[in-house]
Amino acid sequence: MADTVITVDKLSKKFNDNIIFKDCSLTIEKGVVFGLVGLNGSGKTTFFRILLGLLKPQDGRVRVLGHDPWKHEPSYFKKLGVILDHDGFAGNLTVRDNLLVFGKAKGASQPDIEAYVDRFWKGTFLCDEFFSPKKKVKYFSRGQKMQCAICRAFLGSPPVLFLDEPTVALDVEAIDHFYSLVNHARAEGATVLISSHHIAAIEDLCDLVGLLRDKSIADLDLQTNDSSSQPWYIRCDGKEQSETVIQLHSKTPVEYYNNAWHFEVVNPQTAIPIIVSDLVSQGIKVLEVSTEKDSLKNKIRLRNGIAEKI
Amino acid sequence: MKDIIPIIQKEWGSFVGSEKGLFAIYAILILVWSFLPFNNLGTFALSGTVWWLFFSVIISGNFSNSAFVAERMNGSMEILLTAGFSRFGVLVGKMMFVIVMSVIIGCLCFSLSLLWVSLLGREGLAPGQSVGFTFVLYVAGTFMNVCAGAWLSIRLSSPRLIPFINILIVGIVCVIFYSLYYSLFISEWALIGLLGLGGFIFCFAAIKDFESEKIIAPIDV
Repeated sequence: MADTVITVDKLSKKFNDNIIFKDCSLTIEKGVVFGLVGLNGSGKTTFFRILLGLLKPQDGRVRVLGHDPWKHEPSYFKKLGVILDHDGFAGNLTVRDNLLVFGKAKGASQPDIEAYVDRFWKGTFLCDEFFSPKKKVKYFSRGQKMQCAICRAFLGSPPVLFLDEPTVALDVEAIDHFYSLVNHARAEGATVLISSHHIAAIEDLCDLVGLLRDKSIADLDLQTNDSSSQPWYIRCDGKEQSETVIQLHSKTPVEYYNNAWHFEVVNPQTAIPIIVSDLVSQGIKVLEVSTEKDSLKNKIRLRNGIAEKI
Repeated sequence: MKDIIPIIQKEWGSFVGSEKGLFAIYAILILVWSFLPFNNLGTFALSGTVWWLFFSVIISGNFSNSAFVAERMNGSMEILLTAGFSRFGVLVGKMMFVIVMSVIIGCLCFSLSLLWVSLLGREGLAPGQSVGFTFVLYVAGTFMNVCAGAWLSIRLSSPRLIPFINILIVGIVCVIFYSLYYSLFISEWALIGLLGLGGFIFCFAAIKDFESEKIIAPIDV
């Protein structure tokens, strides 16, 4: 049986009368890269803050590596790598001085930090700035600051990483580098929680994806070979007529956008031919039938009951 | 202690790395303020010495602003609290830095003030008050202002009000002291006691609130 790293059991959280989570449960096992997606304001950052002990749950149980985050034990935080809204660096210090300060919090010595930067960041601007500092962090671009934050998060090979919007402002090379760091962490057995609106990154990196919706987290199955639930779309004439036919077989409410009906079906091998047959028998001309190319994005759309909102 | 030192180093690095203009402002402030005790007429208890209390409000308020308020305003406090330092270490490290820097700057101003007294031959300190008393009063005032600043930085949604509230608190302490001084004829050292007591109360309040959700509550920018 795999080790459970993150356990959230019947979590409830509200701000005044605004309920953010109600009976929200989630379990993440060791070595899993978990993606957290959801609309703006759905509670992704709040969820991270609860796991980081910055916010206290109203009710329920939260455990990460056996620690209760709200107890604020330094031994817990030493096992974490964190990226939040802000880069968190002292702007008047160089990236080297900043990393040395945060390294001390993790118990990493100066030679350890130098070896880490040399091994994982060689060839990047950060490596140059670390070994021969020229600029204070406040003069870095937003993307450079994010790279520094990523560098700090992976420092000391933490067993758990909480990465909130880690790809914001990154260029193509930096995103590739970030991917390699996440994949290396996964190979080392680290558990990674990523929240992002960058759906491509979530699809590329994550083993499991959760959608924050209706004050809870719903699993979004990423396995496209799972015939139990797949997003499809059908382009055809007769918008109103076809909606009724497709809705009969769809697992979720059908959505019309990009001149096509989008839906999820259970067991598409049998369901799709039946839908097409029904449409044709009603005289509807079917122009195109296909699985969704951008499946995660469309799953999120369908589960949220929205079109063109993400 | 192992958490406090890196925090002090970080704060020191941030201060040293500040724009040069900031140091010029500090130099001018120290120079100007060093003349203020000369305004003492010697007819009102502690009148000249009390100038030092308000100097501590200005200096410690400015350092508290960068150590506490700025970190909360830009969101970097969250990173610091989840980096592996103890919360107590972060708070005490920042408070120690602000107190030490405020006392150093106070000492510079104080020394300069004594220099003017010796050069110009005028009595700068109020009658009956020693240099030692005035220095301890300044340190006690700094302690209270730093602790109050730390607590207010967590409690207030408008951190720009902190200097005003700090002045208000010092004013209230002075009013309480003068009331007791003239009615009960208490010792001048009671003012130091009141400031110290206030400092401890604000310190405990800051430690308590530093452990709460309030530390990351949204604030007005």
